[in-house]
Amino acid sequence: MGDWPTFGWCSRVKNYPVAGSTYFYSAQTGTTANTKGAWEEIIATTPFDGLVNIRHLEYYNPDTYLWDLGVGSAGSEVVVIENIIANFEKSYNPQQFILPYMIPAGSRVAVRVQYDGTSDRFVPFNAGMMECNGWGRAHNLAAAFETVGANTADSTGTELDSGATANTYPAAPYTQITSATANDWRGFYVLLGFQANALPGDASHQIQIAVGASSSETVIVSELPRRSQDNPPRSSMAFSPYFGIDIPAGTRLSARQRSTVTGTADRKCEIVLLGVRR
Amino acid sequence: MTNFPGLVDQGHEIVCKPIGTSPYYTTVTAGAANTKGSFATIGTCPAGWGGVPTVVIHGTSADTGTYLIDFIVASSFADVVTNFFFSMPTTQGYQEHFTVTFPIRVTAGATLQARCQADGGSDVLWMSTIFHPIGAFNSSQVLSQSVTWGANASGQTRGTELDPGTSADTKPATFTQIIAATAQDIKGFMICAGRSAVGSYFESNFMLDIAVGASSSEVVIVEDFGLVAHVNGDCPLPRVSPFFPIPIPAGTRISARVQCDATDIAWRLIDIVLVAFY
Repeated sequence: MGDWPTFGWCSRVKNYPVAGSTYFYSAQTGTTANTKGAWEEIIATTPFDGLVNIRHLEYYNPDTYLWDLGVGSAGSEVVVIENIIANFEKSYNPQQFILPYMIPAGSRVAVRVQYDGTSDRFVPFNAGMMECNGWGRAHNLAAAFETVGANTADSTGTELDSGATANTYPAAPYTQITSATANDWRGFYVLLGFQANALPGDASHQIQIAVGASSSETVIVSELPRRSQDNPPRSSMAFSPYFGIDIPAGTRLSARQRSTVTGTADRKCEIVLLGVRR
Repeated sequence: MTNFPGLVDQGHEIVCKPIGTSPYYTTVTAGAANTKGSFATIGTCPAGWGGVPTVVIHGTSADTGTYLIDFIVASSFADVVTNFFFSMPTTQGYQEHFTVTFPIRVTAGATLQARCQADGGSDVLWMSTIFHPIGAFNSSQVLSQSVTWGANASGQTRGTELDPGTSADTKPATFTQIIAATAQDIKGFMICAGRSAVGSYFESNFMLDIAVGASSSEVVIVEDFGLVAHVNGDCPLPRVSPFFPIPIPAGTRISARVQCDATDIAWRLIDIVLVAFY
């Protein structure tokens, strides 16, 4: 996914950590299950105004995490995005995305993470900064973000269950992700993970995202593909492309999934939506 | 639903293809070893609006090759992207899918097709597509053509090999040339990274630089882009970078170098290809 609006205003991309013998930063989850750990600095001082490109690297254990991105000096971090769901296994394609959000030169950028255990506390990240000069001419950037569907009590999202009939979407009502968005959105990302402690099987899935009242849903994203595999366990895509669909404040958002399989552990996933606010 | 600037009259549904009960994807089969197979339709842009395509390449659970993929718009036979470089893991079961969004407009109703070659011959990829209306953050400025640099498709299925040398954690003094002189003014590019001809990795971490300029006078434009390659997966990850909107004029020499924390010949080499858009 790209930074289309910055044509002509980008001359360089700088990544972190910088060259040396450290290739990624390890954020630690909280010492108590389902609590955020300390902020882990990933960029000490941004070198120019730019968009941040976050890469959450592979991890060795099939756990599900929620992570936050913050900006600000140590001890005074301000959350920019919160509760991004991620689940990873070794050799997994990294979760990687560019946020449509300007971070000014001189900023400190950090992440923090939680998960539902305490034995796999280290989660690797690295990051890049894409220069974006001439901000007054850029457009379609976010004022802020709104996350819906995350469940911080168990470090997952909202569960989608395809049901006991293969290749068939469950009948309405769809599974509610939020009863009402708090803000106007100019678009969103779909974040997907498998259930914690219920590892997936080898299967294909498709997801619909909808707006509207219960049993009167209107689909706005249709047949979003997802694959799950069991050895090692994984669910992808973990992070959708950016979907530039306007959603006014107060909108109910819901989703449903269909699958090629019907096993109770195989046919479920966790979903979170990251709304990009106007 | 409110129409916000940038999406007025652009429609409000993101459509992923294929639609229907089964299959959940299109199978694209390579020809004989290092030979392109036949084109297969992987999606059709909705009739009402032109869109930007995201291609989803699914893990097949079976094939383990290195691929070069062509994408075309069938109605005009215009190339969208040629020789997109992609590696599957070498261990079955470690496959997963990933997404890439091309900043190219596909006209309303046009059909997107793909074909591929693989070093193993007759390997298959599963693909689906997502079409985004023009106007969002990732599709507000779209381009019409692409050019690929560094691919080696004749008698092999590779990119341009980068060797960090035998000193761990150290960038080589000499850059490897990707192209001597670009033929077009380009608006930006993405980096495809894949397994080298002898690649069989064991927890290798990389930092990649992309540079412009004459030999021995290179200026780095993408600095310290992080990659990781694990045992079993045997793929430098991420397989493709974000789109970097760095304009490069025609006639520019482009080169690259990489450092690695491993020095074994099988662990330290990677291949790269650059896909540029204009």
